[in-house]
Amino acid sequence: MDDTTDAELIARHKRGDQAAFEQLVLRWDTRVLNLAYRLACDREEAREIRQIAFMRAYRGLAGFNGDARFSTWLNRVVVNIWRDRVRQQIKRRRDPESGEPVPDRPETGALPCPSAVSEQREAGRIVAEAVAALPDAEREVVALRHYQGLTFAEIAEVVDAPVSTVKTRMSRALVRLRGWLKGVEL
Amino acid sequence: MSNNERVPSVCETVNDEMLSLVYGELADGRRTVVEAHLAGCSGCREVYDGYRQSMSFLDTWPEIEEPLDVRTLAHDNRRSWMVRAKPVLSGVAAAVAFFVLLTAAGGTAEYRDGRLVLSLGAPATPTPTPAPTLDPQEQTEAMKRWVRAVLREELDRGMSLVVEAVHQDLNARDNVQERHRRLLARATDLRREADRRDYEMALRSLAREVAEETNLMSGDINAVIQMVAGRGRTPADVQ
Repeated sequence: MDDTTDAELIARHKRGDQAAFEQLVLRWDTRVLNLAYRLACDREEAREIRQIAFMRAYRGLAGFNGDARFSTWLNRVVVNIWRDRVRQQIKRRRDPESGEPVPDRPETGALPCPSAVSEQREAGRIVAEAVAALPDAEREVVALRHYQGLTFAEIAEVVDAPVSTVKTRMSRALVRLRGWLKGVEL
Repeated sequence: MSNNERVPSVCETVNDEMLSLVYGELADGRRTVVEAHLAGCSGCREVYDGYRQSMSFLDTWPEIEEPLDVRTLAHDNRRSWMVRAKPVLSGVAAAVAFFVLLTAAGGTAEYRDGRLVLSLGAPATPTPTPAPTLDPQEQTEAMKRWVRAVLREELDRGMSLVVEAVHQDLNARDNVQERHRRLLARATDLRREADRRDYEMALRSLAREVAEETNLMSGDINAVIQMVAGRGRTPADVQ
């Protein structure tokens, strides 16, 4: 069991130790991939976001001063990349004449989630699509709290919002999901 | 009545803490209080059960496992650097490749009077002496000078592209401003047109009123004339 802390690995990386960064990647890989997956609801997109996140981390760690925990910092990197990509996709869908967004996604403001988990059992697939239909801000909180296990205070740091707002978003998301998934057999 | 007012405030507090409870973030002291409240309040219990049910749904969406190949990441880091340096690298590569081909074909390259002079199998300029054969060091120096020249050219080309992009951006902004100006002018014209119509309507209305008053007045005058003509002047009129 490797008990080297993130802070030690970061310090070694700053001194030019390539292996230290690889160790950080191995340690956080699954969590980063799955956060991206819960946000994007698409495997390919999740892989892309993970790749960009680690590349940004590689370049950005030099400026990481340890004020926040590395996990918080890395989660924020992933969330920001996903937000940027959502914004780009929305921008691409704007009507060139009027500049108005083309409404080709659900009213809730979520991106479509094309059979993200088709090979998994039915309930999981339905839940994935329901999460994908949540408003972006609520989906972020669900991904970070339910799937990443961050506390509400940590999520507040990642998404840069008060704890009360984070809790409100989580509560709304859970109520929404319950309404949508009523009658689904688990 | 005071009991009715008290119950909602407790429920609100519990509602606020319910999420912390379901996610195990509530301190022991408060957990006991909230759980005791839930045992006796059906409304809060329903919300709590709803949260638990949604969480069970969320649990059915499994994680994915696809370990990242760290070597790919390292490759990508190099690739991103190479993408940025590609224009310069391609220029250098082209220069080196050309120089190698030139040398292989028996040609020479010289840097004379600030210009690169190339020759293939024969001297570049007729001179009384045979074409000088460059020794390896001179060839290296010539290549360095050539590479520098190519790099400078690449840099110039890059800068001109940037300048062109900036110009395009400025033109685009000019176009937007021009469009705004046209729209403003159009809006002003429409406003003037609307004002003109308002004035016209007001003038017509005034003309109608004047005409009506004129008709009334002429009627009155005619009546007076008829009255005066019928009665003739009286001694009082003369006085």
